[in-house]
Amino acid sequence: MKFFDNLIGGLEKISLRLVWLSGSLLIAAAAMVTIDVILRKLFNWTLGGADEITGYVFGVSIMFSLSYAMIHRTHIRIDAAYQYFPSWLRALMDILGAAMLTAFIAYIAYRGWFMLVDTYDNGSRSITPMRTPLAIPQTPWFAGMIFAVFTGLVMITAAIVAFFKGDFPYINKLLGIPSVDEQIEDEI
Amino acid sequence: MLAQALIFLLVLIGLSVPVAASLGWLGLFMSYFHSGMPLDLALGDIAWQNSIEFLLVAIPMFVMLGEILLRSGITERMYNGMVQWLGWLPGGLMHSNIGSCALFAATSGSSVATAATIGTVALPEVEKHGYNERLFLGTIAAGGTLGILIPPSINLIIYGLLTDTSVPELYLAGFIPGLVLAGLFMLTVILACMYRKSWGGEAMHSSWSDKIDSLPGLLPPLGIFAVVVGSIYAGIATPTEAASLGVIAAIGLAAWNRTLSIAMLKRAIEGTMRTTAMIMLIILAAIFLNFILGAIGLTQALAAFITGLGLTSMQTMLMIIGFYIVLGCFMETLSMLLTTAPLITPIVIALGFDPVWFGILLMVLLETALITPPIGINLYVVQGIRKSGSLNDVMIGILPFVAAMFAMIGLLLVFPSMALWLPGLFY
Repeated sequence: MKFFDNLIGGLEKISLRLVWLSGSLLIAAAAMVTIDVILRKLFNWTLGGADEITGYVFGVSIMFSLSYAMIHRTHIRIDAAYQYFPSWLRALMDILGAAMLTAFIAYIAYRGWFMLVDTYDNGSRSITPMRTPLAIPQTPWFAGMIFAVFTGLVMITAAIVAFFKGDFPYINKLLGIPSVDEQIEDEI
Repeated sequence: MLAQALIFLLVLIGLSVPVAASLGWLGLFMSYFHSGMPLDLALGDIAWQNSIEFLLVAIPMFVMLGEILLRSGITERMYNGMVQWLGWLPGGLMHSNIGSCALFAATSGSSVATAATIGTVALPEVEKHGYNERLFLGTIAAGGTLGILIPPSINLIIYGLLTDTSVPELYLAGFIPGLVLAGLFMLTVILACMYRKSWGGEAMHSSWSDKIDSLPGLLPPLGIFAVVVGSIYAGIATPTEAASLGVIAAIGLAAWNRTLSIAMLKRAIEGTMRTTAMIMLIILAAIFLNFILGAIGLTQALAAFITGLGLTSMQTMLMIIGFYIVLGCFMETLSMLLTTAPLITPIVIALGFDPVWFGILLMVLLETALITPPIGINLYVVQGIRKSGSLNDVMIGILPFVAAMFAMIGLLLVFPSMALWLPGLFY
């Protein structure tokens, strides 16, 4: 499993960089919006388009963070029944859950791809005074999903290999529902 | 169709498939079997349009605001301030727990973070002052739920978006019920301590000069609350803009406390983006699902089914409340809100109830879900911080507060103006 650990470790490093970038951009957007509100209130003047740019930053940041959230098992699952499953069944459900999540993101990406191709073909722009070429925000938005799908596929492959080796604790650590202690540790 | 959708969803969620994926696949499944048109073509567009929705930007901003405050070292001083102001009441520190939770929740919005943070500061005090431990644990778990109702609440934004209700109006409506509920919790503690004097621990006294001295610990969170909520109420800023103001104010506050550093911001960002990615994927899936359910006529079928039962509107409302209380025992709050609000709210409006009022009632029901066993995340959080004794202590300690929440639900049913009076003044 050394190979997968290294690979997932590498993916985590990349996803962490993407998350830091996303968060920094959101803070910058917050600063821009703050300035906009103050200018509007005091001088009745606006930067124009602060909300539109913030929206794009937000959209890209969501998709950039999907992979990190997967690695940290943040995507909510309900453990009402899961907690009573034997460990092999839990491991199986972990793999099923990860597969369905990855597949759903892949489906959004698949539909997003057609939209992106249209955007490039038509040179689409936003219907706002800024007339933003939509390819600029849509390309990283799409790329973030592809990265998340790739992360998911690597994790699922690792889990399937571990499953056939009978290494259920490994799968639990990789994909299982985090315990409350782990959740608290994440929050504070 | 209705039963099929319900079974499909229950099976997926029961098998612990991530909620976002369950909702998304339910949408794809229903569109495949019940629509002549390839409705899933819209998925890319729906995902894109909602990922850049300015109203939803309030979510990462409020999460970030809470994450920064959490790490800016204000909690302990805020708690000590609350002790000076509320400690004289019968039950002493337990009121400070509720007060601190209310104030912290008002600025952060995460119930897990609230219960965990206040719990860490408060729990060492149980033995020192000889409180009844169960009741004390109950105050933290219950107090932690207040964040959902007291503005700025992320859940109210989500409700507003899903049901086309004005978020500023919801924020105005949540204010009084939030305070009343905090008051009911405190009343619960007072009554319990009057019933059994020993539960309340030793009495505490503080002079006016102590109270004044503690103000620097209380003013920063109050100030941030005033900036965020005040700018919305005054009509200066939209919720997203107010949240952005809050993030900048929190960074300023952290800098003032000399707790601002790159490492601290990195950790705050990591927490923020994890939560944001998780919430937004569920929201995108839920919006897609609602689009499908509306297009294939399931939403209308559900409404027709409920009206076909021939109940009065109040009976239906009681049934809906019962449904949420039962569901809340098994389901996590956010998923519950996202799956049910778009389906139930149209029915409620058709029955003649006000959507703003129902939003507030729904928040109280979600708060109840946070502390009703067996699945009530706050119970586990408090137990997780305590790290000793049995979970049963928390479950017993929370019962009086569950009763207080039921009282709150009753009050909202009998006096809808509790929620609607304040927004009525503005709109």
